[in-house]
Amino acid sequence: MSTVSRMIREHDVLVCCGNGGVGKTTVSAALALLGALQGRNTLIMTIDPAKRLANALGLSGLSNRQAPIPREHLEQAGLHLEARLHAMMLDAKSTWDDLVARYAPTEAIRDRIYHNLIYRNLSDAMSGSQEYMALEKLYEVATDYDYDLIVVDTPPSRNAVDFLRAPLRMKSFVSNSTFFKLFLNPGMRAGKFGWRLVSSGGATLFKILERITGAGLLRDLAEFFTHFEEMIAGFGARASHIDDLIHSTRCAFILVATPTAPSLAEVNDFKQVLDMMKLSFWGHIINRVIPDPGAAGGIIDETTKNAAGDPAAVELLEYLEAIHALQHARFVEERRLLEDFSAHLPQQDHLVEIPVLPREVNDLSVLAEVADRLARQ
Amino acid sequence: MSIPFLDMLKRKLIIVTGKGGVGKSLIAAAVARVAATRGANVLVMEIGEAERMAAMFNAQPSRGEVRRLDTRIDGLSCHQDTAQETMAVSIIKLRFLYTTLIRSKLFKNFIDAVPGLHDMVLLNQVRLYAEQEAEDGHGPYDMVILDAPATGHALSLLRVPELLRNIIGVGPLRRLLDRITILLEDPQAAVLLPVALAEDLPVTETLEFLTAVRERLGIAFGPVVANNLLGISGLSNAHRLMLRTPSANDSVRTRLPRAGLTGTGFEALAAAHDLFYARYLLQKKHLFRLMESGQTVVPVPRFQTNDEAATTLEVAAWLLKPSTAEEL
Repeated sequence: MSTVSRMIREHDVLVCCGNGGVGKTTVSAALALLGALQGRNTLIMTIDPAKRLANALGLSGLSNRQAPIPREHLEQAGLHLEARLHAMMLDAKSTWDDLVARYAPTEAIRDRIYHNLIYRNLSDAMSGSQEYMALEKLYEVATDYDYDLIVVDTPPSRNAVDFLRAPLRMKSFVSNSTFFKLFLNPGMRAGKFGWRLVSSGGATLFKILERITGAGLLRDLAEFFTHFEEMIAGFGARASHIDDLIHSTRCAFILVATPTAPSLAEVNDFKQVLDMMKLSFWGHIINRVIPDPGAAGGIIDETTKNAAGDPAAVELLEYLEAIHALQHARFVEERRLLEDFSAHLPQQDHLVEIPVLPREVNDLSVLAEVADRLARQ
Repeated sequence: MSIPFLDMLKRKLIIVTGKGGVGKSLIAAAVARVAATRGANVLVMEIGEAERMAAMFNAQPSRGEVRRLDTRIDGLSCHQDTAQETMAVSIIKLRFLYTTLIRSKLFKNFIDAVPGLHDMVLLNQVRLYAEQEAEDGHGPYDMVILDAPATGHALSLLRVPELLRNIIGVGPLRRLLDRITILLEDPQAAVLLPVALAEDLPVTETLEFLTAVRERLGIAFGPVVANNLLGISGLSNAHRLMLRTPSANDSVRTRLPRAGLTGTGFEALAAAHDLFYARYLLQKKHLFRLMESGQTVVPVPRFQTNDEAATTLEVAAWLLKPSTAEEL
């Protein structure tokens, strides 16, 4: 059994991390396809797939809900799956809204939160929210549905490590909430807003902050956290379950990279944070590697003699040789980088490569090709 | 053909945007070199701990402080805590007061809890240097180049003034916010420089981003830089011409044997050409999408070098000579 096939068999959750632009979505989709080909009921959770791949996966229009890959697409690609293959596209804002709806004690409170300006900015603003919502959605799907394997595509980010820091966001949200609770007047619960100022120092700082931020902001914050107060226990408990899920031995993190210096340089930071958080790392998938162009040297001189009198042939040969030389130089550079890289890898970290393909991954047949290359390693 | 790119160098703030992995940091560094060559004092700002400019200039990492990268080029990695203190200083003049405030739990929780505030703090930092108001002994700078986060985050960063406008009431914070807005929305002062690869997702994202900017934000943008292009550097002019001639490339595999050229060596040549040409055609297709939408495109070749600092020099030299995407 190949390394990748074993990985697919031995895990229930695979999280594909990596910088933006390395091909995480394609790799995640290919792994999910492999999962279904190997007889496991699989879900791929994507974040921002290219339009045509999204179409191929049956995702156009559907957001935040899983759906089976359209049968016609599978048949067109000549794929016969032994198990279910579903796909979904994460919508961070809807995930937040669903969370609020789940934990709000009354519909009135739920609606007040939806209308609160702080909440609207929070669920709208991208920074940090998408990563945590991906984990939330993973937990929801893993708990409420019956998949054998879930492959998670992580949001695009500058640094691979951003995704790992996501759980901290919910913890800090919970602690913000707890903190602001201290400032709230018990009268708040009756709908009257007032501040309980615990000390004269606190009062001064508070007044300064209020003056700086203008009337209303602190009040909006107070209102926001008042509504959340009753939900915080639920949020906190959930965050703890999510922690357990990602720490399970059946959940593994994979780092996707391209054979370029900046992409490979990310690895150390990533591994450091991963180790610190005691998360399980499977290994590296290096995407878009130039295949060995093979030897071509020496042909030109011989045949130039042979082809004397056929200048078109000579011209063609020289042109082809120039292109081959470019590819070869690139191949050599990538090999050097990859050899340096793998020489420093701990033995238990796997490393597999996906070659650059002449076609874009727009449909299931090209995706199947990627899956095939992975399955052989 | 105008030189829109060089026109852009008259601005005091250039925000380099683009999908992750397209080469924003490289382009930001190269543009800094071009501007400095033409006599400007430049500050390149980045957000977070990646310290990409240290790699681009073979220099010491900033670690939150302004550091020299090269002649007339300084670099700064914006850190939250320094930026928060700077902002607090400009609002509350008394040192004792602002120190106590920003160290207080109230302030820390507040700035964490209000979405967008972290970004506003960073934008204020950018504004200070762009408007030559920083009082740290560095500069003054004729130009600030911001190496922005990847597109989605860049969009939310740029939208922060719009979002915070609804929740920050009249007062000193609001005045700062308004000054940030004024800077961003002045087309003579600030411009976005979108960077893309000639590939499906980067082009799609760039076009969507520019539509969003046009429709929702009043921020000017310059030409799109198409980075890392095949078929320019490393080939002679004659071979570049052949690459652009479809008849020279179609049916290579039939022409070779017809000329009596067969064997593993020729097979290797044909295979390498297949892959290269297929990628070249895809590149052409996506470049065309950019141009078709009305964008001026500044092409930048893929350079084969040993490190990012060397590539930065190559790209800067390239940018100093005008060229068009039509040549490709």
